[in-house]
Amino acid sequence: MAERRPHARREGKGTMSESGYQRIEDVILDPLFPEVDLALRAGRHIDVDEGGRYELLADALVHLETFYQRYGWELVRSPGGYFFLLPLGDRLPRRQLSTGEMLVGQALALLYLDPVTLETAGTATRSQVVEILQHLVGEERLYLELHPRRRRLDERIAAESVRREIDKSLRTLASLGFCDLVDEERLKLRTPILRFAEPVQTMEAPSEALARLVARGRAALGEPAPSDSEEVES
Amino acid sequence: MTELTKTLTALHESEMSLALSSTDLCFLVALRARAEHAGFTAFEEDTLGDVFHQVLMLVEPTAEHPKVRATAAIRRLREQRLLTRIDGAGVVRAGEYALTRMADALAEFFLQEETLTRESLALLTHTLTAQLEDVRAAAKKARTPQEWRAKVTQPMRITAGDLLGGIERRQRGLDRSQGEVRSRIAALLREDWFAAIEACEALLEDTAATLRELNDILLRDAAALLSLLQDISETASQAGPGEGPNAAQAASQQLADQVDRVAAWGASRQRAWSDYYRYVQRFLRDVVRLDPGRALSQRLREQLRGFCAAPFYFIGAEAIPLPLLRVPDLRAERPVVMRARGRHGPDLEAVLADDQVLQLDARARALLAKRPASLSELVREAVANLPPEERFRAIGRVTALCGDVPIARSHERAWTPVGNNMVIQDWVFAWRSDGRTRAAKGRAR
Repeated sequence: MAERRPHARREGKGTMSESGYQRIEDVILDPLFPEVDLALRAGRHIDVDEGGRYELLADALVHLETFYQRYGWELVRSPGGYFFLLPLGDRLPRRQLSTGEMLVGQALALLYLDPVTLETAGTATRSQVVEILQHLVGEERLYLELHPRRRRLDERIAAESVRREIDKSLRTLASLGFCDLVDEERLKLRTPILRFAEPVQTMEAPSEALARLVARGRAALGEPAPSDSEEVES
Repeated sequence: MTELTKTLTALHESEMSLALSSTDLCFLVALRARAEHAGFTAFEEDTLGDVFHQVLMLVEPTAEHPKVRATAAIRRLREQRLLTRIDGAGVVRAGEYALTRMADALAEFFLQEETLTRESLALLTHTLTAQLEDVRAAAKKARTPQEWRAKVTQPMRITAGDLLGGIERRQRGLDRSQGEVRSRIAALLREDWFAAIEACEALLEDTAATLRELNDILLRDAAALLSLLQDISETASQAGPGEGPNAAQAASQQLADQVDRVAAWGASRQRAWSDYYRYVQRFLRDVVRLDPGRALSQRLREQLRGFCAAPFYFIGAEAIPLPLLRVPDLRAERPVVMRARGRHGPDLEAVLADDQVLQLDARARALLAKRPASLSELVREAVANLPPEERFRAIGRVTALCGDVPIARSHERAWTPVGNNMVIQDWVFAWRSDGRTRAAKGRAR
């Protein structure tokens, strides 16, 4: 868990504004600001479990929204209670999640919604992720989706290869704040994982919800660039 | 060798093991319940048979030969030191049996698991405090090693140790009970989802309140207990070195460690429950209350199932890679490729051609024109006039001239003498009727 934020922001600032900070300078001078800023720019989702980082964002939201807007980013505060940066134009580099990351993310969101995970306070296992994906996507399809340059399932290496790709996706998702990797097998789910349920969160048709997300720049349709680590099938 | 090592070695050497079937365990638990209910301290053989029969009727109604099975079950329990014969009459008459301490502990685990409650903890810590106050008073009066042992060390090791052990045992019981509460919350939500919110919250609150109370008591009483133990230790220290005071100090230190452990349990469990409490509350608020029909899971499952057919990808920020400036010295200077301006090495000088070599070549070519049958025939004639010391090099030169001559295919080339004690691996020439060599033929193509 992240450390609590020091109270430097409240020292000698006179009357507090509603946001907790009077000016954007006060936010930037907060000792935690550099790491919050770097984490957001790296695509991290920051939720309440991150303690001081989350408090800073919640308190300084009014100032930071304007601050990031000038760079061409939207500081999104999700109804689920987490923050992330969304690039609005092409001036800044943007990250598009890969197929593997999208599949694994949706499986993690399903686990988050399952009451069984409550028993372990949100701790799931990699085997559960693999099981869900194999069950809902199908073994062969999953293999081919995770290895877009291959044409057919190679049963000798399929299980190991799928597991490796899922591990890679989990590492990326963990760096983006969707989960924490506890050890080789276990992982802790975090609230931002519910972002993967956004297209089906309302009762409207999923395609309409998705179109709305695309229009707002939060999602993209079509094929992502194949992973560099992929080998071309000879 | 420590006591524990000795015990473990002895246990292993005696090949002690426990193997109890479900029916045997039920029998054991039933015996313990009967003893408690009827106030028995021992069982007659007939009573054992009756109890086993009742158990068998309950758990295996179709079982045959109950008496035979009862005898076998009693034998198994005796062999595993769970049941002991106490009458000492041997085979003269029917025996009288009692449950051993191990059997008691096993049955008690299943019958009634003690958990820590506010009342039991307060009672245990008050009794412990009173006990340690007595010990402290006794330590101030103790003079002889016997007094130290009887009134200070032994009460601390046995009475106080047992009381603290009782608290720890109940703590483990409460740990298990918390695990059950977690399972119940998950089960309630699985079954009733939205309707289970209140029940889940009540379970969470109950356990949180219990842990809070227990932690408060532990924090308060642990400080008092540690203070008493410190007094006892100081009194023993002032009494000077000796067997009695030393043993009392060691016992006091051991108890202080145990008190620390008990107090740390409270803090750690409260912290762990607090994390769990927040997680469940957030789940109830963000997931259950917002999705009373539990449709989200189903819709998400459908989304994942159809993802490959209609994929989409989330977008987020990505850090701008920082340009890494290179240190110029680290780059090796590559020389430009260009024509060499001067000659390397010593200057060459013009010399006259070697007449002997030219003559040898001419002679060999003339002989080749006559189409000799084999290499050995050619070589023999070509080098015949040369001095013996030059023949070896000359053979090589003549052979090199035969590069274009067609050679007959052969699996094994014979070693043939060519004079002057020299042999060569022979080639048989395969001259074509038109007289052209292989190279000439190749060029013609």
